[in-house]
Amino acid sequence: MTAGRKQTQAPMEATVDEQPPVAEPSARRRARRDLVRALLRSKTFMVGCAILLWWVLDSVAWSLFVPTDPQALDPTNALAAPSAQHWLGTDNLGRDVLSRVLAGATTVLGIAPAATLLALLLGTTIGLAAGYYRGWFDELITRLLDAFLAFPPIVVAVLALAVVGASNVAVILVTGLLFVPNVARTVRSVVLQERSRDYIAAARLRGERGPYIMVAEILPNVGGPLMVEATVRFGYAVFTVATLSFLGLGLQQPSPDWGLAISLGRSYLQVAPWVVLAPALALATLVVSINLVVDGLRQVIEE
Amino acid sequence: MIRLIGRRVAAALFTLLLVSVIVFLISQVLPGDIGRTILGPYATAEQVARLNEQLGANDPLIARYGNWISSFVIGDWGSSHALSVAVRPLVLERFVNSLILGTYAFVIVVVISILLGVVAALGEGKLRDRAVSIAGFSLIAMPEFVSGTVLLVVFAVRLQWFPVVSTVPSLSPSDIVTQLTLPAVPVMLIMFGYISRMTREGTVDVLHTNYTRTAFLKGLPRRTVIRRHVLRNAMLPTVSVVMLQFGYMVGGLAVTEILFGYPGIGKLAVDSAAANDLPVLSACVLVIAAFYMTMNVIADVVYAALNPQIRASS
Repeated sequence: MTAGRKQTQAPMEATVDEQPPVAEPSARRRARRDLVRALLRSKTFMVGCAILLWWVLDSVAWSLFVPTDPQALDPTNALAAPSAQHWLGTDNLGRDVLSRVLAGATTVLGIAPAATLLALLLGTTIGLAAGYYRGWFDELITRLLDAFLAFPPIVVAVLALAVVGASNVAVILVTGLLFVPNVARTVRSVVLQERSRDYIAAARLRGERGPYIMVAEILPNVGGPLMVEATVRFGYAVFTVATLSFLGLGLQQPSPDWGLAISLGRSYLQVAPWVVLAPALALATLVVSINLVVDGLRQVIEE
Repeated sequence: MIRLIGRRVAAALFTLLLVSVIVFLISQVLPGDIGRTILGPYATAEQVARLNEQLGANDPLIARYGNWISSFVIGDWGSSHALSVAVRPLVLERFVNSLILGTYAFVIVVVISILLGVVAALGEGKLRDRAVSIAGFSLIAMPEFVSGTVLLVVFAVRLQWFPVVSTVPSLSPSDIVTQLTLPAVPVMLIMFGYISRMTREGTVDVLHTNYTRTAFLKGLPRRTVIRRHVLRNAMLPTVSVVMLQFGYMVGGLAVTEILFGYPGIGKLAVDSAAANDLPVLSACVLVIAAFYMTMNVIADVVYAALNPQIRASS
């Protein structure tokens, strides 16, 4: 966890001068280059990245890959088994399952990153402030975070969506807010380690204000753990968003979203399991790829 | 020790107070017109106004919260809008059902995860270590409805080993296994990731300590060192993680309960959300959170009781 941080502590003997010492940015750049090299060498990371990139590419350009229109109905050919014409069979309305699986990545890969970003922005702000200012403010924030963490995420999301109504924006807001405590906790714990270091004292002596120190001095050193946290939360966001649409609280018909497709296909489980299995396996590969990325990142950053 | 317990209980009660405020704000204040929410869009304005008056929705917020929480504490949880039954027996019965399913899943997964976690740690860096950690990493974020669906297709529909819809089992062991195994597995897969990783991490840390090296160097047999020195210390952090996971899991069963039609508290929460039945929904959330906080306190106390350092200092 400490790798990459050592190099960035250079401004300890910073003069009263506003400019950071010349050696410092290049050291930071070198650390970053080493990190990228180590990541490229990590098999776990690269395999995860490859699968993840495929789904990201697919979520943007699925229209180039689909064999037929994912919304095209063909009721006479409903629940057809996989064949040369429909590689993964058709669903209850005769729609091509492969096309729908390819088109279904868009929703989850649009909503989950947006929710993750929201959680990161709010969580980092709260974590920085709580860790830096300490005192009653920190105490109050920590208690509040604990309170939020006492709920299973799905149950809170269900409660909130039942009240505000299901929509894409609501799912982004609810999922994002749900993960704020986790991000804030991670950031706060890193800030607590950092705040007693000399470079912070030096910045204070220079007369820097709290917000400047938090953003310009502490934040760059929170980078590593924050990157891991971001990927972990992204994985959970995919999990939560898909589960919410499975529960019928997210997207609605006729979206080809995976969670929704699994929920609707359950009625045909006995006669046409491919309707459910195809999106389930797609979601599984996405989730596993994110976790491989997390595992690779964690190993490299902790080294 | 008693002071420690007191302090932890006080902190948990305070957190629970915050939890109740959050639930109150979401369920009672966020919907705006509570009478309209309950009666739906076809009720007349007078009906809505009368219900709002009855429910005290026009009182100041603090008074409303006071009313709401005090009736909850004395056991008057109101009645369900959708089902027209009293909330308390309904929620508590479903909670017990979830507890049954949770306990079953938990007992099995804890044994397997701890075992594999230790196996992974003892072979640190070897193939079996990587295998356990990759399995854990992949399973930990697998949505229950994905793994559950695959299980349902394979074991209930194709092989017909288990029922498609699970009910609360009778006391016979064979009934317990048939009814609970399938809904338990998706949750077990997720928990496996957490517990095996914590166990592995804890065991590896202890393996690298000086006292372990000393024990090896003074010629104790490997088995003895592992049993007497390594496991005893490594299990310490694992115990508290495991208890916390249990508290968390019982509320997190919602998806698997829905998938397998099992009548637990998570399914009740989601069903009442769909039916806009806020009294039932908020009671479910409060019960789940209270249970989690209770397990939280127990985990801390057990940890302290097992840890000689903390035991001596308090």
